[in-house]
Amino acid sequence: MRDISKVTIDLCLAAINIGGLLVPFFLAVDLLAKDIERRTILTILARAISRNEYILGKFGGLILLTGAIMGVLTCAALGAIWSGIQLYGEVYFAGLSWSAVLIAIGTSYLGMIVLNAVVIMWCSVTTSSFLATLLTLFTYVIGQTVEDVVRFISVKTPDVEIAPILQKAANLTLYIFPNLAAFDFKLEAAHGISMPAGYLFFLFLYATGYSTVVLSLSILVFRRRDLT
Amino acid sequence: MKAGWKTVSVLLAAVVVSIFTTSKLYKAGAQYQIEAISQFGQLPSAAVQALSLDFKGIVADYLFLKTMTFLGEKIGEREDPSAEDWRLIHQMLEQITDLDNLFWDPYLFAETMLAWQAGMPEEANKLLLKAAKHRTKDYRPLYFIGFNHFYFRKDPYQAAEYLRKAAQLPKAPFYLKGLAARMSLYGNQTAIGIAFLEDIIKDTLDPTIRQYLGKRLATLKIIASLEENVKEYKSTYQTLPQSLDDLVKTGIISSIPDDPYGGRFVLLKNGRVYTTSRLVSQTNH
Repeated sequence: MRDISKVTIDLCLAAINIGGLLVPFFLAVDLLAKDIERRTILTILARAISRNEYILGKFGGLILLTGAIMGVLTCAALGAIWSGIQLYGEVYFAGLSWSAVLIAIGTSYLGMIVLNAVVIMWCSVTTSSFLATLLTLFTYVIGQTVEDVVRFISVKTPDVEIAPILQKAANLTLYIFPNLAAFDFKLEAAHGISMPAGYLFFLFLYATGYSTVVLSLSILVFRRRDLT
Repeated sequence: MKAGWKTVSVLLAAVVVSIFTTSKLYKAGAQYQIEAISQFGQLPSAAVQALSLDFKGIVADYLFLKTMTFLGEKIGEREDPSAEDWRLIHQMLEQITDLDNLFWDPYLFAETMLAWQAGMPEEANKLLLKAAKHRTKDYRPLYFIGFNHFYFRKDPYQAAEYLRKAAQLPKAPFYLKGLAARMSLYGNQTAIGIAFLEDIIKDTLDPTIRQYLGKRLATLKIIASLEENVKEYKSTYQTLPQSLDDLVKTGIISSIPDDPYGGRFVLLKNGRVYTTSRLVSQTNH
């Protein structure tokens, strides 16, 4: 085994990612959809808190919680990588780039922010926590694969005709669903490849823009929702 | 007191059952291992990529671990993998390198196992070309492809071409350029095979694989030494010996060494030495 550094980083980054995913999949739905299901939301809204503040507050709490979980796991991961260097020697970690690892964690967190925003939206439009979890899961799977699907369809293969409507639908899906695969730099980090600053800037802009759109929609829906 | 004894009896029975089932499951697991790898191997690469979501790196690590365990079990049981096993291993390596095309270990595994053990240098070269495409600053994929062309395909000109390309990459050993030139002129296959294997063994940490390759290296060294003895005979008697026994009769060697694989060394008409084992263990055949 030569790629000890790659395997160590793969494991560490996957653990951080799973830790981050626990929030939108389990905690977020529990905190929001069940608040509505069990009517506990009414006691909160009875205070001087507007519905907008409720949504933004929940979102802020969720991303802080995700950040805290991923932060703790990041410290553990960095410790594990350092231990790996001490254990196996620097020769196996020659390709290690700490900045690439930290960038991968940072972009993974940006992806989690987008996913948390989407969970908020699904919780505001659905009436059951189960449905919200299911829709979040679908969004996550679509978000991870949509870019590949669009690229696959766009490739012109001789003798293979793809219906233009299918092509348009795939393109539309790319704009509707969050492109979560774009936030994944775990492989690059494992091989010590850093992403250019320009690309990261656009990624940050995309995450901010998409989350704002989704949260605004959530607020619009939630303001009109009958909670009684 | 009676109730206490009952609990202890149930506990003991349960311990016996768990020990029994643990060992049964472990043995059954070996079969499952084969079934699991064949199921993974049958999946289209694109499907594996899609199913891996954003965990492609770790899925590649897991599949590689599965592949190594699968082959390790076979080697551990002193059983030669069948053609079907090698086909599955090749498919798994294709999938792993599609998931993470920069992952070096599967490519090295393809070179050490597919080219040397399975007699599949073409497949190994295909994988190594993928490595060369993605690991653009790494000289090793081109070096291995060059070697495979020379040693397995008996094509020194193609080999020299790849070695020349490899020699131009960073960290390429200084001897690569010379090796490319020597290959273009004439190929002493055995000597170059020994040098190559020594290089690979130096890079291999797994003791089982080291032992596996070490046996091959030892046999190649015996062949190289016998070929040297044949040259010595020729320079003394101006003719090639009829058989290796002539070397013993003339006192050049005291006896014909044993083939570690259990075969017999034979002298070919062109002065090269060949083994009837074809470097495959004869104990299972």
